[in-house]
Amino acid sequence: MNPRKELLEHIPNMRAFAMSLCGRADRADDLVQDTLMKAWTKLDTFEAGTNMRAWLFTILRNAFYSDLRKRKREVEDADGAMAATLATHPEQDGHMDFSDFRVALDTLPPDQREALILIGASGMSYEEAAEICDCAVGTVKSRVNRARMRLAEVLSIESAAEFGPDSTSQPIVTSQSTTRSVA
Amino acid sequence: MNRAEPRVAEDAKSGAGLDDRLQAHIGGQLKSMYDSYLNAPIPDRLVELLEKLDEVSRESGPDETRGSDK
Repeated sequence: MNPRKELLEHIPNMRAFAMSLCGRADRADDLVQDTLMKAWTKLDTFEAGTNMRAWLFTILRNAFYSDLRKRKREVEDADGAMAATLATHPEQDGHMDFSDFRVALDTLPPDQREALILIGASGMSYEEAAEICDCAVGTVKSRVNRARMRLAEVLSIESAAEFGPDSTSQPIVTSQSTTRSVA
Repeated sequence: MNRAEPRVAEDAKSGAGLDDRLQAHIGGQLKSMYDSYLNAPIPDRLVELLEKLDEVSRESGPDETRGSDK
């Protein structure tokens, strides 16, 4: 198949992964662009017949982390600024009633966020996710579990505040709960 | 130790409905967020980028001798 056409087919998934990771359309598109250029130059290293989506996700994920490191160096409180921007700037993707969820997702450490996205939304298997994140399958599993627990913690506190304190919606605060902004 | 139920799952079960509902809610939100990104239109600049890459590599001919006929 023409590599241009093949890469084109993967763009929606790459964008979805990038958007889920960083939460901003401009940055997500930069990441996808970066990934496409890298993938193009490395096409000869891709083994035909293997999983191209996982290969592209790996490149994108690495681009995300090097971008993150760069930004951390540039602006110390980039994460806080990003969360604030997200809360006030709905993207053009239409209805944003998951914005609370989005903000909660961004409170997760990137390794947990990425594992949760890969397993819970992108349809990757644990094995594929482990390869993409360059870690053991067990590590992916524990990151996903921790991500779910932490989101439950954040969102249950929020929904309790929203619906008022009644007998059925007390926030579950486990012994694992830590201060939320450890930065 | 093999196939040991994760303690988290047990806690969730004994912690009654709220935790389960919350996990279902989280899963649903995550998927609908991802799907909304997945179904968003592809920006022109990405399509154009691929076209340019394709043109350039055709001109320079990375693995064929095609481009070296000058």
